Amino acid sequence: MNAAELEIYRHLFASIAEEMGVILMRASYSPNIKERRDYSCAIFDGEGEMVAQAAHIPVHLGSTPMSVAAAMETVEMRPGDHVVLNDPFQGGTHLPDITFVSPLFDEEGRLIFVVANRAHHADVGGKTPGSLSLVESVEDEGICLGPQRFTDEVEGAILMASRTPEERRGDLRAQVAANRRGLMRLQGEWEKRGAILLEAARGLQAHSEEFMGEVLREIPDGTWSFQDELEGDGLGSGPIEIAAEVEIRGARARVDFSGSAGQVAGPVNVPKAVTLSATLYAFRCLADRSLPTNGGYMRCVEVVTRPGTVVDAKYPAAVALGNVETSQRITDVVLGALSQAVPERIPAASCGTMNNLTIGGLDPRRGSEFAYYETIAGGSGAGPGFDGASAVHTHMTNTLNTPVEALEHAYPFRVEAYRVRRGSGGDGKFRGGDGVVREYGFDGPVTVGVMTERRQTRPYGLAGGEPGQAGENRVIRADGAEEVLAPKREVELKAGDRLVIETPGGGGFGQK
Amino acid sequence: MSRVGVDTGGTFTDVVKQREDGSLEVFKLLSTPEDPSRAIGEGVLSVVGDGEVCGEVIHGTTVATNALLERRGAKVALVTTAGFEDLLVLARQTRPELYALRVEVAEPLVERALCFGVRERVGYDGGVRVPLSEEEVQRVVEEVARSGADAVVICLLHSYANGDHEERLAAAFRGRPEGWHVTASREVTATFREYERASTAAINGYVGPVMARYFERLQERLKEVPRIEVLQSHGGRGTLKEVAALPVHTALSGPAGGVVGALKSAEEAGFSRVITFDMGGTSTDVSLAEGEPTLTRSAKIGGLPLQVPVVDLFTVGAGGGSEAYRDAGGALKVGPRSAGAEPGPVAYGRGGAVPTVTDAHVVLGTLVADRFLGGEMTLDEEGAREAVEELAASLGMSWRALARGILDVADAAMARAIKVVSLERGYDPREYALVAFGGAGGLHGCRLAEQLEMSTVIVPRAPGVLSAMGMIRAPGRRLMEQTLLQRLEECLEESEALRERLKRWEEEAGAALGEAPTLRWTAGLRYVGQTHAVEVDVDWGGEVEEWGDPRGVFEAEHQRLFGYVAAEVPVEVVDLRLMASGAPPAFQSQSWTLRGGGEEEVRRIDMGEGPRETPVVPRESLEEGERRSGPAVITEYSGTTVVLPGWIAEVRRGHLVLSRGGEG
Repeated sequence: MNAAELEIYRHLFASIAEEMGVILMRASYSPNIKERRDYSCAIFDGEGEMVAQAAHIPVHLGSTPMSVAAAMETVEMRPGDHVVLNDPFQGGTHLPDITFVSPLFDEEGRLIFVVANRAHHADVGGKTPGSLSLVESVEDEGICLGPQRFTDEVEGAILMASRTPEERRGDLRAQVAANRRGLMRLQGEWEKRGAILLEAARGLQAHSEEFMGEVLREIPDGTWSFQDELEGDGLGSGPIEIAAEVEIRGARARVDFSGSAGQVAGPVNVPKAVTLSATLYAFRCLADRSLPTNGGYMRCVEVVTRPGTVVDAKYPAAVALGNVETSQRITDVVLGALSQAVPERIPAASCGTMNNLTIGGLDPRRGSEFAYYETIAGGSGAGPGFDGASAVHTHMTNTLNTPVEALEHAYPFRVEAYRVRRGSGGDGKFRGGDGVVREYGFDGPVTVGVMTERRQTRPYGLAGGEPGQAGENRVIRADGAEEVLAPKREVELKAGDRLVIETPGGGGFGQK
Repeated sequence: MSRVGVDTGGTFTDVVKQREDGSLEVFKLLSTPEDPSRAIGEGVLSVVGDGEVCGEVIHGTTVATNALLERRGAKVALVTTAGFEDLLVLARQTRPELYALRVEVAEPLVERALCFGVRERVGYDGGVRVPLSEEEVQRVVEEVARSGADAVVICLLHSYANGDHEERLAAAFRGRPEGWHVTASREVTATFREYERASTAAINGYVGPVMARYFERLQERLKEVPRIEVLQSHGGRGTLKEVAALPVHTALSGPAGGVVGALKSAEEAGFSRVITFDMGGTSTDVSLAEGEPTLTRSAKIGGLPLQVPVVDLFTVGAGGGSEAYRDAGGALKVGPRSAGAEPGPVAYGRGGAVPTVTDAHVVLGTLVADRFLGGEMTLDEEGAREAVEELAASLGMSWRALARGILDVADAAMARAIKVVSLERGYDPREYALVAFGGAGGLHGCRLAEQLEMSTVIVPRAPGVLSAMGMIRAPGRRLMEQTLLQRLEECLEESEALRERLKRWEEEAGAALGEAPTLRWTAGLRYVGQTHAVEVDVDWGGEVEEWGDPRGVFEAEHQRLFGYVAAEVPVEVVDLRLMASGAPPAFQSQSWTLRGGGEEEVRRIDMGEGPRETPVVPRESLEEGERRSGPAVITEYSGTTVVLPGWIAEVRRGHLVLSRGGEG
């Protein structure tokens, strides 16, 4: 495989993964997938190593390979099968993320490629609408599926569990359609090109490994540690420490999270897959955009965890928020450690939370239940030579907002204000980006879940820069009474009440 | 009276004149970026001879695009619903680069200090929740007056459903002596999604005053010309007055001309289903079209959304000037870095040092060094060879393998673009003819067609000025649209009310385009609960009794695009549109005046299988109907066409039609 062929095949595989994403987005039902694009698509080789991933959501980066591994291990896959799973302890991350894994076999029945896509479903059952509830066990978080064939019965079970079965049905169909499209394209290429396709996949992985090796060799050898904390699990435990020790030796990196706290009762635990994703993301950012995202570069980074900790939780730990919140803190500590190795490259902390909001209840316009989920942006961290950006999603997520006009058309509540939270970015030679203020109004009773971080701790500054402002969640009752909510809180609201979410700014960089 | 099409590009202004007898003249002159109207004035003067009368100039303009990309637009004030003043900063809260530690987002066109909120609120159903008071209107008008803005953009929530508040504000601003350029978002696009609508309206306001000044100068320079029109991004002409009010419609004026020109050329050669392939110096635009340009409403320009219909182009950063280099992992990259026009490829001899796609062609011989631009410029073959050799050494390849590799990698990027507009959208490229144009299109047409198993490539006459050709062939056009967000069955039941609205559109179109314009009604349909609509033709033009139910057409399209139908789910009409087109201008291509020429000769050229004796044929020497089999290189003033072995080129109505295996 010469230098030109590598690049040609990179285009080929990447375009198939991108096409899967287009199909998934356009055919799906829920705003969460169509508008917010909370999904990822990827291609794997017959050994389950990633060949190409469409640039979608970073938190799916390292965790989708574990889904594929679990599917390959558990299910005897046959042509035409689509394996579905969401069990966090068998290849999943948290229950709303449902993954589909589909195999491609050659004429002799050998597994040659696997395609997979993962999408965040707005409701998979559990205690509260949106399935991000404050409970103590994964058993109470919604329907939990170990790797298994997707059949009418399985579909029926998911629809039965969800508060919004129609939407689920559409999204599940779109997921199957996306994998089918990927398989069809790979099949076509296989018929046209044959075994060179497999050689190309291996060549691309070797290239990506070499590329990342180059990036790591530019970092001085050494060991650096950093720690930060989650402020709580929503059920009374906290703060919860996350610690990383990053070791760079030549073309290899090893990140050890053994010093992190033990798993906790509330749903901020993560399976190792998420820790891997966050770490791989941080290292991916060190390379320029042209690094092909595949299993090759992942070989350069070893992640060590201690089972039973918050970063490698064991069944039946509750994990709903780990994927969206803890993953951000893991990124913060890995980058914090790297900032000591390459201070000229790493920015201060970004807002460090996805500011998750779920709203559910009865929709009087339709006479049926609704479940809405969104995440709200914050400020990004300032860095050596640049200010942070305001009102953007950072690190482990990059979902779009739901347009106010689309939201109000689809759901029985309103957005009353949506603003930049001026002055919330940390001061410094370079200023952190500002967070966001989003205010909601209600005409009837709703159940609201606000699941956030960085309400008590603040996104760190670097090189003498100030930290970003902590966020704040408030309820203003119809009678004018105001209440500041705990960072993670479920609350019942009534007609005339308002909810205000103020998100954190990014940290500043350098002394002013 | 003759008609003149003018396309202003970054380096050249292309001029195409058609005389009354149908004969054509093509002319290129250097652009005058500080005032593009100067080159246009000169160009028109120089092609229109003494005693000849130029009846009409149709112009493709980059003034709006450049003002936007270079951020040289107006000082705009934005008026929004109170609480949403930051609409343009918040955007969709995403970052464009996923894996970048430095987060950079496109800077909004309006400074925050010039964003004003008004107390008012319309609901999703168009109902007024908070009325807009007269005092509030006056207050905001006064505030804007004090701000020193020279354009005003108004975007209120749900104005697509009820535009009263926007209209009242717009009237108040227009009634003032300041003479602001005023844009109400609903006038630009009556469609939902507030950020995209605000962004589109802001673009309109930002380029509005710039365009108005430009049009004044243009009219001054062309004061002898009775009629001046502008090609809009959707492929239809508009009068200066229309375009001055909605300049946002010119953002893709030039590329739209290319697509129109490609479609017309293909039609003459006997093909209606085409993939257009416009390969220039820094990038390549592709689109898929059947008879008419395919339009999209989700384009972006300079990172900002543009929610008006524009030709649906997919652009990749690979062109003749794209630079080749080795990445950190040892793979060969081609583009998006580009040598541009200055210094240009190494072979231009103007200081370029990095080998480019053009240089690869020069060393392989497919670009004939002494026949570039009709022989007006000689390419530095040796310099190109040295640069290719140097990079080849670092990759452990021979220079020849690298040169071929550079072309293959560029092809891979361009093939991917073609797949995006075809396969990804459910169309099989094998059922389409590839129309290759732009300076480098003819060099890669056959190569791409082979990769995508396409059997026909058309290289239009004068491929380097096809956009200007499209200008004189585009029809006048009006577009009307309205978000409905209503169940299909409700629409059909309440069709009398809807019919009234559609009638008004028809009348408006008739008044603007004269005679009986061709009307095309389309509706964006989706299953209730989906976000993305599928656009289908509806026959809602006539009397209500004759209206058909488009559900069947929608479901067939949904099946084709996504592979399933949800028969149990109701269908929703997201929006309704009318595209009214006037009659296309009469056009007869009889004779051409083109520069270039030279003698046919044989050169050693490598088309991928080693150097081989290959005829180099001047296009001027080919007669109508003449056939030449590959390998051959056909050279002309504005482009070079490579006919690969196994392909046959035939001249049909002046265009080169290349067929695989000789059939077709």
